[in-house]
Amino acid sequence: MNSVTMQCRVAAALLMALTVGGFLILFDGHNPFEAYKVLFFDSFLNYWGFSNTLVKASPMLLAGLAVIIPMRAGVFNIGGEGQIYIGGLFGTVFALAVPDLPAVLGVPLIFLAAAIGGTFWAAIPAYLKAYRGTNEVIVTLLMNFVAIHIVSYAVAGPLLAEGAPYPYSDEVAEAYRLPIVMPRSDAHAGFVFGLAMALILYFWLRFTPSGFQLDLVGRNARAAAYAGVDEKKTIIRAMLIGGSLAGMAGAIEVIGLKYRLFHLFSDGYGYDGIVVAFLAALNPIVAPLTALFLAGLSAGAGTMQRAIGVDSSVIEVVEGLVVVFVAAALVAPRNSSKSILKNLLIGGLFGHPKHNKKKEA
Amino acid sequence: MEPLLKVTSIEKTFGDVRALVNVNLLASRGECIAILGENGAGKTTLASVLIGLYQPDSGQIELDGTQIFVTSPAAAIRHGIGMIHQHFSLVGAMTAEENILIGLPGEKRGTAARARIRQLCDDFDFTVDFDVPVASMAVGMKQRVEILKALFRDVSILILDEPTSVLAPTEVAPFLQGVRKLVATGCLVFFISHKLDEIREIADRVMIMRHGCVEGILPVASTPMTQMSALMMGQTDADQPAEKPNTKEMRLDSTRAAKALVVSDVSLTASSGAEILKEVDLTLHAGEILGIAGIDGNGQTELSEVITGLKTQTSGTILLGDKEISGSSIAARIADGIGFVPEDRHAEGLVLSLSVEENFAFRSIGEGKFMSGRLISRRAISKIAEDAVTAYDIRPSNPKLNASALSGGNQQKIVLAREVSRARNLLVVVQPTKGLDVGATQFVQDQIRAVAQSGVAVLYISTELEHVLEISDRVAVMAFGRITGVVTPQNTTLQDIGLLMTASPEEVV
Repeated sequence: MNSVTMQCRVAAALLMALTVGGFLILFDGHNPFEAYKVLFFDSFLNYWGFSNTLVKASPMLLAGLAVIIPMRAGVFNIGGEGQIYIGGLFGTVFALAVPDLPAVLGVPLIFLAAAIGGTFWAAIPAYLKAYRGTNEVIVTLLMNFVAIHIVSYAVAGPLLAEGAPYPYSDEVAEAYRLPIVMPRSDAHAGFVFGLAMALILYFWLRFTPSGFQLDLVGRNARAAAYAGVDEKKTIIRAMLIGGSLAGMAGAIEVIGLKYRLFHLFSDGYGYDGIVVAFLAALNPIVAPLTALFLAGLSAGAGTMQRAIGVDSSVIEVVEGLVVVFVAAALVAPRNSSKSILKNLLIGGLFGHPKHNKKKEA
Repeated sequence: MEPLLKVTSIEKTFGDVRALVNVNLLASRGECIAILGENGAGKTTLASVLIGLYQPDSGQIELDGTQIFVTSPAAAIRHGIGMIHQHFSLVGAMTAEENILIGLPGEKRGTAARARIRQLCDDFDFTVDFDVPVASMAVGMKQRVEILKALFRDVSILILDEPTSVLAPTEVAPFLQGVRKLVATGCLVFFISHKLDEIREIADRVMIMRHGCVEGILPVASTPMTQMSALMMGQTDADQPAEKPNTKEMRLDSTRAAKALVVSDVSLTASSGAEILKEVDLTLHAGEILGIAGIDGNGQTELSEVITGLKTQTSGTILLGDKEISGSSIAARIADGIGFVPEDRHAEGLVLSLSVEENFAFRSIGEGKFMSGRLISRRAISKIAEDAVTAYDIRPSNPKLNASALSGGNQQKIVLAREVSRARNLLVVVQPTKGLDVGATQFVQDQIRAVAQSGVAVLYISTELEHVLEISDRVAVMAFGRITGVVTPQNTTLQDIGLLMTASPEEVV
């Protein structure tokens, strides 16, 4: 399946998810067009709304890349959430322990510390997967809960700020805080950082032998072995890169938005990353767009509820539907589809012309 | 005696291929019938028809004088027909008992059933460990569990598909002993095999198949091995040489050329203990085409993988020119100029979701010709692919298409073009003509000849004997992981090769 076909299929899946969501809004007694209009207008065309979208998009983007890279090597990293927590923890600990560095030195070191934290958290499932054959989905998923509770313990115990009414750490030094890109709003430079990462990773996968070979392992592990690629090392490398990206997302939440480490500070961004990755059809260069889209959905949901009265949980349903439809579109084989609906919607209307020709033959 | 099984004019075609042609058979209780034939002779198809995996196009099957319709493997079991496949269908985490009783209603799974399993074990002298899960059993014991599973369901006809090929050498004799007991209790056993010595030992009659036809059903005791081999290979005039010497161009005198590859004393033992390669010695000279003939699954694929580095031999050494490469990684051997056309081009030789041009590059992406500085040059890849697509007439000629959009023959051309261009010292090709039509086959053969002419040593592994004989300077025959003989195509007969292909290890030593 070439990437054009993939993107078309994803677009079709997205439309289907929004359509089904529209029916839900309709059954709820509201006008779906009106609701979607309010939602998207608020998240993308309103200054404050868009700043809110950007704030949510930056961890989603990095978490999405943290899913994309392992997935391109054939490994499913569900552990973004846990890696965000551990990354946030490492970054905060460093920032609080060494509060007096100049920003040009301190901020990169905080990112590094966070990346090390995320990498460490991803290394465990990576090793187990590569050398013990343990299912990475289960290990990464379960390690999320461990990570969340480690952070809860840390901010309720050793890192607890003096006199704090509930569990959070001290504030990080002002020099370490990320610059704001939209004046008077919360929108920090985290998304710009994510954008740079997306570009670098796209370039790496496409134009370097090591990136190309990582992709090879995910596409066909046996052919990769035949080409002399070490599958185990590649799996580990992909997971470690994923872990470091998610870890940095954790640092961005701390030094970009909240300036402290809170317990439960990531609102499921690690899981949103899975949606971002699938929506982007695992292409890093598309991930910024899909992260913005998803962040917009979630940022606009509240406004939609206030303005129209549609319950914002409908948007959570739409997010879930996006995952289901996109996953179905990506795994559907090109010429064995029996479902008329699928043929019509995905193959006929949006499919690549070549793929249709093949079906006739 | 009334025959137990009567098969009358069974026909089965798959597309244009006539897999079974007018197959007739009469078989009685307490008989062991071996089914002998080359790959694709129809042995497994016939077995599949008997157990209901395939429906015959015409013909009928009678059991005890009444016609039966075996519509599914479940129906086959109801009629008392069971089959042990080469790949077992056991649940690894369950014990032998649980596996044997699987799928049966609760009332048939009580203490009585358990007692009966043990009784069956005693009757047939089967050693089975009932305390451990099947996954931790040796292959031979798993096989006994499979057989017990069939016996417990009261089969009167048992089909064994190449049962000894998965066994370690020490497990074979006890297994044959067990089969003999089965036969003695009145079971009708079909023994699909291509090992003549085992057939001699166990079978009463041998049914020889070729191209879907039954060439003969003969009593084993009074039929010489040479006759079986000749019938299997389809050559009635045993003295005719395999190839007329005058049709062949003069071959270069390979013994004078430098040694390109020396494989000495290479053995490979699987974790199950089965000996896959045994003391293989081969010498290959620059510019020479050495064919490896043999029936599928006798170690040829593994030999290619050991030479190219995908598998590591248990013992022995491999020299490429003067360089010892036994311990080198695959990547190092790629860099040493070893080209490799693997057997399974879809699963191994190509990445179907990549474009044709990327498929030309993926096996050695870091090589200078695909790079510009330290980065991949997409332009260089396109250029190289375009040239190869033109040179090999790969269609459709758009190298941006995904490899999956091409036909099998054109896909094979991609693999061949890539590996031929990469091979500087050695080209290993496995089944290069599998599934190709006559024209494509000719083309592939010509390319291989051309690369040999340029001084590259070629190891040509194929089960298609005619092709091997046509292209090779010398032919080594493999059987049971050993080289059983090296012959020159001009001075040998198909019958000789047939004997070498089925020779038991003892005869070779």
